[in-house]
Amino acid sequence: MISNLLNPEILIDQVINGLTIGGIYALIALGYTLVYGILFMINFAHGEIFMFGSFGGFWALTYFVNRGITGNHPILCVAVAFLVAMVVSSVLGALLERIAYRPLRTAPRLAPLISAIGASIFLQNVMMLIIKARMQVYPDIIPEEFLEMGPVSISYFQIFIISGSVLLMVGLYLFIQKTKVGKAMRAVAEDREAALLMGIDVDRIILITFVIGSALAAAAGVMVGMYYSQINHMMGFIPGIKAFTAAVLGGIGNVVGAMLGGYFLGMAEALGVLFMPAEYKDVIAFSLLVLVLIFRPRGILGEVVSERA
Amino acid sequence: MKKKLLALLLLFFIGNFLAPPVGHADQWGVITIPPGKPIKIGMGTMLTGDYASMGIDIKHGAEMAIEKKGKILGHRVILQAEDDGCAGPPSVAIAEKMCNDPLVVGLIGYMCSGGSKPASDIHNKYKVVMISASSTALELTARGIPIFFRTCWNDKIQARRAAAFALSRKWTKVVVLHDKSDYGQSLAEDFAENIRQKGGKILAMEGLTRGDKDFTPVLTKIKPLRPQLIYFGGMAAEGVLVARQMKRVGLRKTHFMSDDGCYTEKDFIQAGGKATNGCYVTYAKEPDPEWVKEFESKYGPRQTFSPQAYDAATILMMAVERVAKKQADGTLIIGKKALRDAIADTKYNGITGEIAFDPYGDRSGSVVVVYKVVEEEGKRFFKQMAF
Amino acid sequence: MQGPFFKHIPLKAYLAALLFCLLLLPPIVGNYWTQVLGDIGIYVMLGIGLNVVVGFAGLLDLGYVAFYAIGAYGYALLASPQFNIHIPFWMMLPLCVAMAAGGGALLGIPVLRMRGDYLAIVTLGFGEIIRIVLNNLDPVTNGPRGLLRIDPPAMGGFVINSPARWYYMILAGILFSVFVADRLNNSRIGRAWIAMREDQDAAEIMGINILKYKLLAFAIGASFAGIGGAIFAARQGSIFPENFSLMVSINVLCLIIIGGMGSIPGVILGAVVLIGLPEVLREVQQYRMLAFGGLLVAMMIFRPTGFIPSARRKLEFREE
Repeated sequence: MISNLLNPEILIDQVINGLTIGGIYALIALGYTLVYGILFMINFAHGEIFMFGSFGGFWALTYFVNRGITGNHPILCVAVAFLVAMVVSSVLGALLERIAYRPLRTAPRLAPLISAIGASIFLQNVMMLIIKARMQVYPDIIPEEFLEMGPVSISYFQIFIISGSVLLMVGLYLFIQKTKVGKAMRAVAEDREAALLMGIDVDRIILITFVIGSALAAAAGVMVGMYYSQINHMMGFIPGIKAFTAAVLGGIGNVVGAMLGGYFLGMAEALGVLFMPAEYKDVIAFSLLVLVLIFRPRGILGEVVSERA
Repeated sequence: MKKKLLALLLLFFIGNFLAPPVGHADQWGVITIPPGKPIKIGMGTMLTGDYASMGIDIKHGAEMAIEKKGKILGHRVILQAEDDGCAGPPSVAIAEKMCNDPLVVGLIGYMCSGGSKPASDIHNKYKVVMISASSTALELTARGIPIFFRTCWNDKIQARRAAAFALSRKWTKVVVLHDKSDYGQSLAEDFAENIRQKGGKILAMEGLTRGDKDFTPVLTKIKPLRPQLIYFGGMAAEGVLVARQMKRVGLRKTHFMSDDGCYTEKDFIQAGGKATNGCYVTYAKEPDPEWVKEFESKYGPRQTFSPQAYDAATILMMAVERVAKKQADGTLIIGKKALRDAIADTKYNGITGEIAFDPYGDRSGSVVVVYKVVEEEGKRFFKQMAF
Repeated sequence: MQGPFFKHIPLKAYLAALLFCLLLLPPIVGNYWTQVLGDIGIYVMLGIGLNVVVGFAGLLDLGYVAFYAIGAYGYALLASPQFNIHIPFWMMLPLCVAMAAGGGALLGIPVLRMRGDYLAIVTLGFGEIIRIVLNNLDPVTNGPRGLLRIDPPAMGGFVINSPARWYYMILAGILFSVFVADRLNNSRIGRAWIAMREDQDAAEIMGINILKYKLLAFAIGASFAGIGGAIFAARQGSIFPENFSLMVSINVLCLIIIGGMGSIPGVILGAVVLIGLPEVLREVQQYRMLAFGGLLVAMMIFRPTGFIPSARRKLEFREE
């Protein structure tokens, strides 16, 4: 199999595969990192927000297909589906924050984690009952085409996911760095009480953080639905864990770190398969995680601050 | 502390007297259904979680058979379905629950081999029969447990037949993938073994991760091997993605073949889109269209193992009807050994084909059928292959 | 602990009465509930062990299932037809403890410098690595097909193979675990852990060897899981890698937090609620896990510190 490594064609293919997987991980990881940066809690139900977003897009697209309007305006339909998905996820994220997390803001550190785990189980089962546990199939409204470049061929979906995720991330970065709300988010992350004293509406900022994180996860959800075509109520679990891993890898709480972590993990999965049997894929990913954290205990871009467990 | 230790020792002696009671009329004891009480058929299947749709489908199959039957010798029949989570600990707990319920005559299940293996030990202890519609692991029948039967086949039978088909098409350069589950891996290994024995070549064998969505890395890895066939052992959720992504990475001339886990219209043919055209799967005899119509009007699109569950429930009820002795007051006496023997003697033309059991509890009647996904007159469906 | 009306009755008398009731349970509740109680019991042991790591020492461990798996596979490999080795259960028990403790220390070394959630994700990864390796090492572990026909424990001709017998066996295991955990909590080691948990830097300055106590916490915590794993394997008679999924770690963590972190009675109550509840909820079939998830959220909102928070922790948290 080593010969594969010397084969540039395979290598390029794997890099593209890795960027696709990594882009999705990165989008979901941002939600973890944003919430963690402000509340220091692991939003375990984030994978389910991603799942609901995917279903939001699915419902919208199915509605359009039934109305027969996808043929004329496929791009518009997809855009609306993204919007619907983001709204569904954002509302869900906001509800989750209000109901399951806000009452626990002063509770011991691990209480919100358990509440999040409960919410995650609850949401999985809500969806299971809605779809009667059946796999749902994303409508195929845009046929898959390939960009042929010599021996390498890339699916337009892959190009879309790679570029779309980068765009969203750049947008988020600019939002956090340049806008007033973004500045407030950073202030709350730095020191919640000081931010409160400065006149920042902390509750509102936290809510906005959840909404943004959820919207990004929803975008990833629709991309996954369109690219892999089938979705069900358990689809959030594995990407959730992987994205959480990516967020920690990059340095949890650090926005750029989450993106880096996502791509790192995606590439590790794609390239790792070349060295080892595929069944060891996750072993490679987790071992790399341990290795990175041994040398950089705060993740790739994490800062060194004292903190208690 | 001394006192506690003494108390503990005492306890073990108490435990000694708690052994299960031994029956009289039948070698294994009897089940007594008093007048006015229903006959209960237990079921262990997955009702929540990843493969809940498959589990609920199994439940529906059995439910339909029981509704059709109505009553046995004046007693109502009810299905008590429990969520076995497709795993050991809940299945064992359910086994204890069912085997200790005096009205339970037998059980349909468990869904996964990982549940059936430990649970069958419990059933064997109490001698309560179980017929699984979906546990395919070889070890289940190879262990010589007399109370275990199944209406699906074991992995070896299916793999041998699939390999024979592949070889008949002269597909001798094969890559085998599986989902690293009990079911998928056993099938894949048996398939590979059969191919090797007949002079074919296994170019690679790789395990995938259940629940993953992207298999392009591993498919890209095997692309330069230029296999004629990719055989996948596992379920539709992953199988359909492999079939789709094969085309995506450029394995366009390679054939795809899979097992009964992929025999599901919605999750395989529909979910895969046109990429699944030309894929092969193995499954039992296509159930009677009338039956399918009736089933789907009641429960919606069927999945995979509902016909097997329907047959399992029917066989169990037929056997109960045969051996139950009705007393003057309406009480039913069912000998456990007699019931087991009646099931072992089954000769029944079920909706999944002729059903009879070999001495180990495996199906001996029916043959594996190969299907191909075809598109004819705008409709895409599983078409039976002449083989 | 003592109510105002019963001040004169010593705590020991309550515990003795409780123990007596527990002893009488199996014939009253029947085999099914005895089996479920056994399941709960195993989780109590796991909970007590993880409580040492998370509750006492404050190290968030999401990969606790790894040690459970090590105990279970350790026993199953050496007491089953797999290699035709049949070491008696009672001899294996200390060996399983040693293996799990070794695993704990092994995990402890690379994560010594990590704190908080970094620790959580690395331990999670460790748990997954162990499970995947068990699933892939087919020649040794039989992979996903699992290890079958594992020997039950026997003493002379007396074999522990019924739910009731296992119940008493597990009860004995719990009593032992509670005893050990209680002693630990009130020992020099226990106090060192608490100091470390509350402020690692301050503890280090006070002369506590952080390295040693972290490793000790991991090793001791893991050894409980080793016992639990051996019992689980012998009791179920066959084990599969899928029995050791991430959900087990999450469940154990949930139960100690629901019960009240750091408190041993809390762990017991937490296990009864968390493992017993899904069984009670069997009545609602497909709505079972929905109700379970909802109740988990509700429990946290109404009792964020758990049912029976540890007295010492309660005092500590007042500052926050």
